[in-house]
Amino acid sequence: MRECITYCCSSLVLWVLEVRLLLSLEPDAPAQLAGTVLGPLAPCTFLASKTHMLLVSGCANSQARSRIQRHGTEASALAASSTWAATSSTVFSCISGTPPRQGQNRRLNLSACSGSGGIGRGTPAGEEQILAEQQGSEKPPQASLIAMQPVKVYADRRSQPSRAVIIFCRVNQIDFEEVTVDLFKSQHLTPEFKKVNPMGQVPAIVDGRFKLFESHAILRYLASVFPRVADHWYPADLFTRAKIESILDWHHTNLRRGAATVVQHTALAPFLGLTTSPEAVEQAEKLLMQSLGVIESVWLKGDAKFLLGNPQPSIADLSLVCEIMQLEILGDEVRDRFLGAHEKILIWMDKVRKATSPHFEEANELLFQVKARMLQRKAAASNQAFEPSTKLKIASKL
Amino acid sequence: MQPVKVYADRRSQPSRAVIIFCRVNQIDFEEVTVDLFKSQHLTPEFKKVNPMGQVPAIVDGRFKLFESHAILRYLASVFPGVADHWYPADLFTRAKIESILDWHHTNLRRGAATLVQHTALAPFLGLTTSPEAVEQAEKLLMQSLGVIESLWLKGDAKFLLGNPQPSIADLSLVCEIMQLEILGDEVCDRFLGAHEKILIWMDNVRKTTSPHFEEAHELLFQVKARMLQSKAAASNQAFEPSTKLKIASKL
Ligand SMILES: N[C@@H](CCC(=O)N[C@@H](CS)C(=O)NCC(=O)O)C(=O)O
Ligand SMILES: N[C@@H](CCC(=O)N[C@@H](CS)C(=O)NCC(=O)O)C(=O)O
Repeated sequence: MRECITYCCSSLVLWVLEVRLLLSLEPDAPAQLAGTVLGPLAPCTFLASKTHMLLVSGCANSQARSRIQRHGTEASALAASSTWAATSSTVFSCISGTPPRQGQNRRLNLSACSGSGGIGRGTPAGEEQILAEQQGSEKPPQASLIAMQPVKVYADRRSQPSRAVIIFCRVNQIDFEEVTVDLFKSQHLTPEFKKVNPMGQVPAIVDGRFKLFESHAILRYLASVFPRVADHWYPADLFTRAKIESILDWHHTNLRRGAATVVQHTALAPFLGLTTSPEAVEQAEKLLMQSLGVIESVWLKGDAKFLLGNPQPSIADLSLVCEIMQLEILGDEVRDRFLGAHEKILIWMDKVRKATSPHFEEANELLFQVKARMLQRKAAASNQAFEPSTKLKIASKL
Repeated sequence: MQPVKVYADRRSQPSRAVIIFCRVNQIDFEEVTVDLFKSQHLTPEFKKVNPMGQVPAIVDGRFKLFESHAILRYLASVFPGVADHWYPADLFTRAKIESILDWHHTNLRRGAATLVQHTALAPFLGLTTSPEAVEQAEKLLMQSLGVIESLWLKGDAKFLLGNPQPSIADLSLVCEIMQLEILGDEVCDRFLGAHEKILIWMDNVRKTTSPHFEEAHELLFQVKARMLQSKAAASNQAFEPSTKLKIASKL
């Protein structure tokens, strides 16, 4: 408790400095502050975020620091926006004298801080809200702290980006509700689901009235908006983050394109009614092999534990490993053809599994069931020389 | 501080997006041309900058980065004078922009770039094109344009998502679509003619980034003119398209 008070006091000093900085640099800063200093707690959360911001920029590469300092607010606000929620939750618990809650990770409505643009707009306009936790010492006096409904995660666990989102939510104890969209039953093509994601793809999320698709964008969003997601998942440090962004972008047109095409054109083709061309398969195999080579030689070089030599996994580790896991349904032989020669990748995958255990294994259970069923069918087909069953009607690509 | 080095070929659409972004935001940068037609992206020196051998890539001090979206995010975050609308700090607005950027890779870019490669550039790339590949790419491109128009430009949106100012997603997508110019006016109109909103939006993006937008696209229009000439020459004199333009790899 004493440490918390010290923390808050020193933060206050920093805050005053920051306010000065703001006033001197931003013409509409007073309005922003007026919107900020609403409840007795609001300034605390604000100062905490500012302090955190300074700490963040303090740790960052000196180049970024000087750039940030040159400008004072805008760039550092960016760096801080993702740590903002986390810091405020710490301060709330400090003030109420309780350690951060160990249970579910609930998004906080930082409505006290919804000043103009920038930092900490807590909730999209008009979003449904539930007044949360009215009881117990966690409720800060007079704070407009509002917890939200669980995030709805629309997913099919046979889909690799869906699994990445589910594992991320579980590991970070995000309060979410999984809504299964069965691709094999074409549920992604229903008008109801199109209202959630007009692209008709999983994963997609709905957070209050805020809808989002594309797994990477979802992971970034969840990491930024939920208070207790550890920084390593999506680091506030701009340089570390930029390198992770680069991998995420690369993923789309390299690893994913290679792996997903191989899976579609081989394992799934009979069920998808896809006419596969040997060239398409060959090209995809080449791209997949190249991509695995890049991961190993560029991002896992030396004895890197996780991508980029980071000591902890990021959303890029999770996303890429889930993609590679999909190769399981090609059968052990084909999988080993791709992964056998890449020992570092195998070790890294195991590290990611361990760091996210038991949620990783649990989310992959269905995949192994699909694999087993496919093997059975294959065996049956070759024994009795009949066509692969079309019971598994996959309406579209996984 | 040293200027940021931007390795680019202005014939490449993501390269142009980064250059325009730097100019509009008065970022102190130095453009280093990596001529794809001369295979400069395959040299060992450039591989040290970007092991993937692609443009754009940047070097900021000792910090190296590739992938245009990642570069745009980085520059928007690290440079003080970049206005918030390019990459908003607001988490909700930002998330929607991220979603468009991710979507771009596997939809608009895949459609547009494949089409350009398999038609306009194929003879220079020595690519064997299949009618199916072209057909698939055309379908994906048409679908993608439809999505942009009906989803992100609905109502009378000035910019994507109805934002009053452009973001890095506007810039990235518009640069991609501009690449269709080298297919010639007829083909270009076939795709864009039916998408009036897209044309208006592209013009909005051009205007807000003028004159840097036009300047960065000058080379593209030169390439287009040369391609038309060699096409005309080829059909007049019935010889193979000139191989003077040797493009070592895909744009
Ligand atoms: N880039 C997207 C990919 C989403 C995707 O391709 N989802 C697949 C399942 S893995 C899907 O829903 N396919 C159904 C379809 O495209 O119709 C992401 O990362 O979220
Ligand atoms: N996703 C990348 C695409 C980069 C890319 O494909 N660059 C092309 C030019 S547009 C290139 O350098 N091609 C040469 C090659 O791939 O060998 C980005 O947005 O930066």
